[in-house]
Amino acid sequence: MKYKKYETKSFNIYTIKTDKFKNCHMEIIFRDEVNQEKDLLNFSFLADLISDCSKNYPSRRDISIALENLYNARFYGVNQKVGKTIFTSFLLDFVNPKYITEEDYLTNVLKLPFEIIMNPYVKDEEFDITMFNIIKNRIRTNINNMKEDPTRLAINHALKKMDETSVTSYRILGTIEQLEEITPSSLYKVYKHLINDNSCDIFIIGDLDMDKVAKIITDNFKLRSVKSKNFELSVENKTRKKPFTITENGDYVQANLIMIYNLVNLSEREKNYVIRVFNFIFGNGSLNAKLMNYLREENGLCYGVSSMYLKRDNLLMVQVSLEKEKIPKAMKLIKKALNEMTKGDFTDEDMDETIKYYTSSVDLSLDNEVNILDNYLFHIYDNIDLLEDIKKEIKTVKKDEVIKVANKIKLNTIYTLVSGGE
Amino acid sequence: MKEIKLTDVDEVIYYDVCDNGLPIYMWPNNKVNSFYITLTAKYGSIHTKFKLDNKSKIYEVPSGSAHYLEHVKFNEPDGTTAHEYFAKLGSDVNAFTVPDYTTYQVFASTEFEKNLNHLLDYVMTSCITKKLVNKERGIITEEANMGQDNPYQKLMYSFYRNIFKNLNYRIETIGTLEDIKKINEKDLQLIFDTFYHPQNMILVITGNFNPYEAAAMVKENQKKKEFLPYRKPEFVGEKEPTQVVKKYEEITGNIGEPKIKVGLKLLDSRFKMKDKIKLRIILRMIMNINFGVTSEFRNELLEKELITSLNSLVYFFQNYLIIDVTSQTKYPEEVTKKIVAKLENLDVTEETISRRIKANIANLILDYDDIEYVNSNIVNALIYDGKITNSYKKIYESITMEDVNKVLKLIDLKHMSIIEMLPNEN
Repeated sequence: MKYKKYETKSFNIYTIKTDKFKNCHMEIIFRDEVNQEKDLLNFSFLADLISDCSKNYPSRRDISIALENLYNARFYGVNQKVGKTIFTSFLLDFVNPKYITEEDYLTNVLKLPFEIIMNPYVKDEEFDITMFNIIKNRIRTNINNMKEDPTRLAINHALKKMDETSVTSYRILGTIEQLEEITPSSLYKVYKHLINDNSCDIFIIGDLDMDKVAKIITDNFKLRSVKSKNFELSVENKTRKKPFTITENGDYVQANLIMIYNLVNLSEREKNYVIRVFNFIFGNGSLNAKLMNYLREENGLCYGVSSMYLKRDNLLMVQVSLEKEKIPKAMKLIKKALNEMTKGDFTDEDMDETIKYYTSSVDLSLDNEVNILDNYLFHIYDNIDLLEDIKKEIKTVKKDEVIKVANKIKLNTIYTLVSGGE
Repeated sequence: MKEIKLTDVDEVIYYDVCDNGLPIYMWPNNKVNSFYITLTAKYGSIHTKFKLDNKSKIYEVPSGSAHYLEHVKFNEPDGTTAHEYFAKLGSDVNAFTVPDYTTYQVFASTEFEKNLNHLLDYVMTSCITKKLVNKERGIITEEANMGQDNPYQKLMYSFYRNIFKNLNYRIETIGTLEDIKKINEKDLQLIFDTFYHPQNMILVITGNFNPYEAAAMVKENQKKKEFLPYRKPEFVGEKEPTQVVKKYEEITGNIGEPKIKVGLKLLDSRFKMKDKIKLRIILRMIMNINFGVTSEFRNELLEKELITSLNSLVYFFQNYLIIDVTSQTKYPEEVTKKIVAKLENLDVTEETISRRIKANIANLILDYDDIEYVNSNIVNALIYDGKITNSYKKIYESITMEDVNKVLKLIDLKHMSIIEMLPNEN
């Protein structure tokens, strides 16, 4: 695998050349700081609208026909909240040109996303109203459909209850009220801000002549001169002296229990490596993890229980779906598992298994072009190690480091979503 | 060892068979780091009634038994679990049950031989006790409760129940809550003895490994195993009528926006096309062209703000095929009428067909990037088509407008079922 960076006046192109895959993957990433929750919805609306139409392709149907003619290339917009930053990304997947007989295939397929992004379907400083409404309706449906997934709903509500002023609790989908405030002209202003003020980079992976790729991109992407900036990704969420407990009602068969913990003053090594080893033994691993073992295997309380590490939010979140009556016992067992971690009540064998599992997961990631690109992206933006280095570094984590991290985990919020609750 | 050459993508699938009848399919790809091994029993959630040894006695097990056995199978005779063994290797082990089969899988990047042998050992070794069966009951009940909170699952199974009177596709893979309570160790032992037999299983290996060495390891492993005589199981079911059970139903769910499904039930024999793969491809292309992202119809409904989503699927269930058009809409009645009208007037052109063929051929190339996807394609091809097709491209290129028009003419709406899911009133 060969990594290379091409600098232009307005953006950088990061390339990864590898012959492992028949697919090629490109991401055009715009980054901005999140100041308020509605920023997220604005960018989310924009990503959908830009990737669904343009002046030359006035509907998703037209874009889809163009993509089918490019041997089923795929182009779509996505948003990702990364700590205090919002990524608005436009992704392109296409087949390696060596399998295609058309000579200009590479140029044609790479040109399309830039042509779409730079020529929005706009008249008189406003987005086309028909396409605007199609996207607006879709987002409204998605907001209304939030209740169809009780786990997702519970996680969102739990984060809001933890601290609604924290960026961590901001939802990309936003609310119906925020959606109604957006107009075709207000959104066009957001578009101009994205193009003129956001930091932009392009990442691409594939078995391609990357010098040629960089030339095609620079020939077709004439952006204003804003140099790539660094953004603060980490969100420091407030801690509490006493955990906040709250129960909400829902019309569901199962209850949802969410326990949110602060991770206090973790070092970079702890954030990147030690907490991951901790979490595998505690709750984010196989059926042998403490949480799965205590809640599912020994007591049959649930089908699954997971502990999620939110690195850039400095949080750990335990989630479990179960019968309402089983919640007190589940909470007791979760506390017991964490308590054991703080006392070092886990074996060297657990450490070994975890490290082997991580090495194996990194190997799996190295077999997927999107994972490789994602790793490179956060290597650039968040200074994490490249996958091959992660494999080496994870092996150096020691048991006493894991115990130390376990003692930096402080319970913040206990949230339950129950049928017929308080 | 035989080689199945996949001419479209310049790949080879290696095939071998053990003395006890276990077939091995292998796709080596030494550009990747990892490997993926699956062992599949051709026994799934629909198989609740069967005969053995060519005799007339009918054996019946409760719904959900296939999935229940999948849970219990992770226990090992020495009191440990397969999870514990694979955790020591750093491997990722799991299993899943679908209507037609049950698959046990392992992902890893090292210790190929240990992973392979232990997958064969734990799946093919019996360890079913009353205690272990009872231990899983609470866990499976919670899994079933989770499904009850999923409105899409509720909509899908209500739809199937309105279409099928007898076929077990209408029952949730996990089984009914009543049946989960009933399942016992005798049911599971019978299933294990009958269906977890090398002659009823498929081993598929994809990724970084040597196929000759792998086949030798499997044969060596199987030599040491003893199995009961194969009882030639034959699945039994009542004949499925051509009519649907309910033509229309309105249900409610904990949803944000109404969802509708319009389904057509068609006997595949009516199309008189011997090549079922070709029939499947043609039908999927027709539906994609009429209801997919490139369809004018979908675009029109979006522009008129009548829908927020529309898609179509074509499923094959034994000798029936089901066309399923699904939409999210605030105007279920009006959109249903429009979908029905469109189904009565499906159309394709040479241009749309040739564009779809071009897109599908590109997908064939992309499919061979992912060891999990290739593995699952091999299993599905063997279960549903009974063979590996060595050139889909040839099938695509053989499709003529005459073939497509012939299929189009035979799609009728005589056996149609419509279901609307509306938000709960609360």
